[in-house]
Amino acid sequence: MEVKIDARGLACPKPVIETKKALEGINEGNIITIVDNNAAKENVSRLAKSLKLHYCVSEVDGNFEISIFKGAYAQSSEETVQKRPDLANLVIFVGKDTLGEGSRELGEILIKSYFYSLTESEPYPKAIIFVNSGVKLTTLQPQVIDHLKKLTEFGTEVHSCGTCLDYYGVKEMLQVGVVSNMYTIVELMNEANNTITL
Amino acid sequence: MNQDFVIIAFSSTHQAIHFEKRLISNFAIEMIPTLREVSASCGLSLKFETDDLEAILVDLADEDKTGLQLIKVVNNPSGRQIIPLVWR
Repeated sequence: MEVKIDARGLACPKPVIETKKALEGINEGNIITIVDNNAAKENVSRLAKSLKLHYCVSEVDGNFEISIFKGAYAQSSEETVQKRPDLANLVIFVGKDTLGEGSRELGEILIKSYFYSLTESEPYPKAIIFVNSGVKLTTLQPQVIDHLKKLTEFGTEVHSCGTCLDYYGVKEMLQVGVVSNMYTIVELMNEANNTITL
Repeated sequence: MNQDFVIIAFSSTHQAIHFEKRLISNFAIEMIPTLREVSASCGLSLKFETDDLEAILVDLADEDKTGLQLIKVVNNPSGRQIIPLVWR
């Protein structure tokens, strides 16, 4: 069974919702979602990944087609993801661009120190999620960005809330990781063995 | 593993902020948590390239360095080596 979803022109997170609905509606087969922007492509791909379904992405006439296979077609993508045995399923949730309450000047120093230390402390987190003013760290804070890039080399996922990037007008300045929606954020936190909120 | 570098470990957070403000426009410095191997500090250090050491010492000539530690950090395959330096 093959189902095509034309999600071009649909605002985030509609392409993900439509794809999820279609996947729930079949026992086995192939769902092909067509989107017209990179963020939607990433979000639909992550949906497939989170459901542990095999998927592939192709670019056709400036659009992206994400084919997701379910049922007899499905394969575990987990096997293809290199995971360290000691890597705990830890998620860090960063809700602001400083650490702690009180002096902003001190908070900015502490948040930089935190990410510096994180690069030197194993096991590395599975994912770090930036929301609200936390997204200023993945866009405007070079030292934190350097540390996050290092963490991504160790396999850590870095997610910045798209709504928040848009609100602060820094969407085009993202320097590390991917743009995510609230569905992905909820899934990451629900699936985590442990979530640390800064 | 980072390359070798030099740190100034501070005994006061305000002192660390003062030194950062003074140096940041002229040198590639970074405020980091003081390494565990280095004790007796407020927990903050300024990190910079070994190549910048001489110029930074000249820049800081008029500063009171009481309680400040100047340390070279050498990363060997066998581990990290902490070498205290003398202020001039």
